Amino acid sequence: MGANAFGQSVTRREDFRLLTGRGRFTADLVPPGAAHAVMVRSPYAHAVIAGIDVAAAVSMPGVLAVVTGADLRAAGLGGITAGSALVKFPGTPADQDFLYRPGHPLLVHDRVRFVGDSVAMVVAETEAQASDAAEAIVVEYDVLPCVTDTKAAAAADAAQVWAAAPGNLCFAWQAGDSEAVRAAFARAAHVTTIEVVDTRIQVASLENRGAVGSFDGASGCYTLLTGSQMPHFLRDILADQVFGVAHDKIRVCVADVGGSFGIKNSLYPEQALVLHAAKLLGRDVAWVGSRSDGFVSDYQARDNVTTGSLALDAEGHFIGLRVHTIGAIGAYLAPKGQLSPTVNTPVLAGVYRFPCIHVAVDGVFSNTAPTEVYRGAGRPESVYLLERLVEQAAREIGVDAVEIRRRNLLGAEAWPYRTALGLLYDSGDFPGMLDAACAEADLAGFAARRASSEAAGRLRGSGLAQYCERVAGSWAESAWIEMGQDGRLVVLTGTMSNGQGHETAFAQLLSAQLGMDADMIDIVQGDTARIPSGAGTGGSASLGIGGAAIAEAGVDLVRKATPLAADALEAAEVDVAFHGGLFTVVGTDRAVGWDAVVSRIGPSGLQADGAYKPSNPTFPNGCHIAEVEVDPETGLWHVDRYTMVHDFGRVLNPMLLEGQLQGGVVQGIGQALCERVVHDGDGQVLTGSFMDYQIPRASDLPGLELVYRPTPSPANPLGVKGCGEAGNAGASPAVMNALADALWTRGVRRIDMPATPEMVWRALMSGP
Amino acid sequence: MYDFAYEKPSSLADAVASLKANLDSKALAGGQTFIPVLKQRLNKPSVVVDLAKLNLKGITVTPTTVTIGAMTTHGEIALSADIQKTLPALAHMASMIGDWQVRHRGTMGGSLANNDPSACYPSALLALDGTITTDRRTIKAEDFFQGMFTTALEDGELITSVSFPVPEKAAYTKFRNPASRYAMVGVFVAKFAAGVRVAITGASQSGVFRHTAFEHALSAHFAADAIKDIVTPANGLNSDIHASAPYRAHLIGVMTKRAVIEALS
Repeated sequence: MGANAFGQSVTRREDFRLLTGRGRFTADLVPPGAAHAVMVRSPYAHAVIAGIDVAAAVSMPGVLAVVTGADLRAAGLGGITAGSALVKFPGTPADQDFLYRPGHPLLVHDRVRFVGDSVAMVVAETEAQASDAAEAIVVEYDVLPCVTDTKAAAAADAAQVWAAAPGNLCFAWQAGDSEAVRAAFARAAHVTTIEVVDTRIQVASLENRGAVGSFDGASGCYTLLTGSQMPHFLRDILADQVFGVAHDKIRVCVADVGGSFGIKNSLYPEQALVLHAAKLLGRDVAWVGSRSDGFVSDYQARDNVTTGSLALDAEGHFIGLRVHTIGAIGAYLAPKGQLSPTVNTPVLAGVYRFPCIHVAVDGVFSNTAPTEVYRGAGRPESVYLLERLVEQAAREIGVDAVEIRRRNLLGAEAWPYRTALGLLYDSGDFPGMLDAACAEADLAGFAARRASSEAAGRLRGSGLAQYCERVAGSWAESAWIEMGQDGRLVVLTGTMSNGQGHETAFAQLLSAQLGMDADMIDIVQGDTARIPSGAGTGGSASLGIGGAAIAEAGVDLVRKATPLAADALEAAEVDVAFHGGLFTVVGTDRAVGWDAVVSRIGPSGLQADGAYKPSNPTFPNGCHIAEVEVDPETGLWHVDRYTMVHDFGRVLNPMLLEGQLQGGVVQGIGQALCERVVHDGDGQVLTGSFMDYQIPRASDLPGLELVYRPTPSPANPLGVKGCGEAGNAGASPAVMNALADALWTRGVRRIDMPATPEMVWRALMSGP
Repeated sequence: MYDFAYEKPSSLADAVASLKANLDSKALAGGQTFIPVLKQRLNKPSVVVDLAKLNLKGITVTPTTVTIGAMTTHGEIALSADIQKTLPALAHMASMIGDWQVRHRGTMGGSLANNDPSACYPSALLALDGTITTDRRTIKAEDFFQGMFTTALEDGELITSVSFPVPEKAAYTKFRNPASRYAMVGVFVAKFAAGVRVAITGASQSGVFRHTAFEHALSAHFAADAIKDIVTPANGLNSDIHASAPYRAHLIGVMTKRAVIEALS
């Protein structure tokens, strides 16, 4: 039991199959005899489709079907859900709504709006035949002016993506107290204002997207095999929006998933189209996306330009925060397209005592791929703005970056504390976190390290980011346990691992709770026909909500098993208590284990279930400190030291947690260092492969030091807070603050992400 | 990938004959550039002639010359004790190409015949005043490179080996394209008794070129300081999302200085 206890680094049961090539991803599971689909995509960012000629393609060898947007309209298929309701926070006008809400069409029939927009699908016996036929489809385009840059899209003279959306505005949303903020700025002793750019990200999961569609004519049931974080969410969109059928006519199955980070969260055209084609042809249809396909058709992320102003009093206390974001929506509003710029803005309150905050967000259309949630979904963006603002303010008023934080941090005596944007902070030790991080990072030794860098002709800078996330708060998850006559537990969960290690974590959790060998516990996920419901995986909530539901189901299992144990003990049920894997007659030393229960289980087994819906979110928080070194001659720079101190509440499996942190930090460093989608003036994607889209490599990274300072979350029975996105939240601001610190000594006053070598060199050249 | 015929001849004559017989044929010499191109359907050859069985591998080192078979891989060049001893700059260059997987497949002959403007070897061949031997003649480096992706090779002409005179001192410095890790600016500096040659790859729109202003200054005085006042014009240099022409011009100066320092160390 000890080996699987809370806090043990149980090794990942997934790793044997994943590391030895035995993992089974969507593309590995294409059934023999399946037909293959290939997409025809728009080569233009904005154009009217004047005609589509498929005549040559349909008669080519092996071609089974060519589907166009007109065909789908004739078939009466719907599109993909356009966003969900705009969130309402304190200060959000009651009538605030989208100004225009265009959904992502499965296939465009009239006007393409980004390079990669789906125009037709070709299905053939082989992928090569489908590709040949796709090249033979002649689409006549009348090219229109386009806009891809987010700030430019919001400008008065920008090309208009939608006639029904003047100014390219999808929504203009706000929250907070604008009057109080105005008053605070009026009496401020100092105001610091910065503009920050969160560049457009290609998520670039290791596994490309893919989908296999099947249709059973007898039952009228569609089956989709695909990579996803949220199988039930896909099922619901397919049933409700696309096909207009009952939920039980759609089955979504998910096998191993090679990373998602948000992009395999919502429905894509190909996932619906393989189902449509499967019904049309009466056979399985597979679409396996290539990396090139992904670079123009995956949902992308971030892409905001934000202006933030911080008002300080004469003692350097924060007295107000004003934020305005222009957030890219892309050509269409993706199913969760409005979430990132809006729903996580409360994280702007950070770890500080802010009397008032006002935030306004303009969601703008542009001729780009739709944006979706990506690791952190707005939290990293908020932390990035706030923490860069704090350090800029510190430099401007001549106060040390640590000291300015100390003057403004919330102390534990404040709990519970209602923030200016409505969150109820319940735990954490922010001042202790900052002190620990400074000690762990040896900030005291920074001056000596800087002197040594300078002696070698290099610049060195140090930067902090302290943050408080808000995760795992707003939905319910359920779990089911079946115990068979062989004593094995089958656990059904609606969460969906994309590589995080859920099978390991959940088995560990139940093993510790039930005092049962983890090898006797099977975790089942990713099948909507077998698992009744599921919110899926997102928002760092799989353990805090999904795990809590499994723990509740574990409690129910004990309840269901107690009569059998009582029978074995020849005692009354009320006299039997369960603890540490043993059912004991209270007040005696008579006890039996699970074997006594198992031997009494009937052929239908024992069924238990549980559910959990938190009443308050959790607040993972931490402090990251980065040190960078810059070669001023070339602009090349690297992260030399990286320290993070974290509070994730109770930690179930430190090894899994560290893996989550490393991945998150690396993606955050990637944004700071190199990641950006670039379009040319015609809207062509210049970053169409890894030859031009740079993700960080292992050799770009320092060792990552991780220290825990947990305070348990009161929001769930496990006391966990969620760690999936925190690394990302801290990394970009810590690293960019460090770079800004290094360059400040040379007169550089602004540096944006990604700070490519040329941008750093140019900044240094233009300094005084 | 489009469909094509695949041949793997075991004699040079058969390979040349096959390439000549099919106008849109292509030679496969490792394929670390060519196979990705095929996979993206950017090339549609009728026949792919694999040169792997032609016995064109091998390294011969004398005190004055290093000769390398065309099908010798980057990995073999990087790890050759003889090259490390006699012409370490070349071994070092090979060790910085791609990753180990690429270095174990990609070949020097394939790279030179492709003449990618951001490939490393062209700068070594030009700075060292090397000679290319083909199935029918020898070609001096000066005459071989004819602009990006263009060489003096005739249709069906195959490189068999490459030879490099051994310099007194040499070094290669590479500022990698941050994404692809190809040379964004690569500088090969070679000092011979007759003078210094400096070849720049990755930077110019017309492929590898000699930097004559640096050569004159360094021939007069082989030290980093000798070139500090020479401004490289940005005219004619590549400009892309990773580096503008002025930045590349600046990097040419920095990387040449560092190459000289390394050659002297």
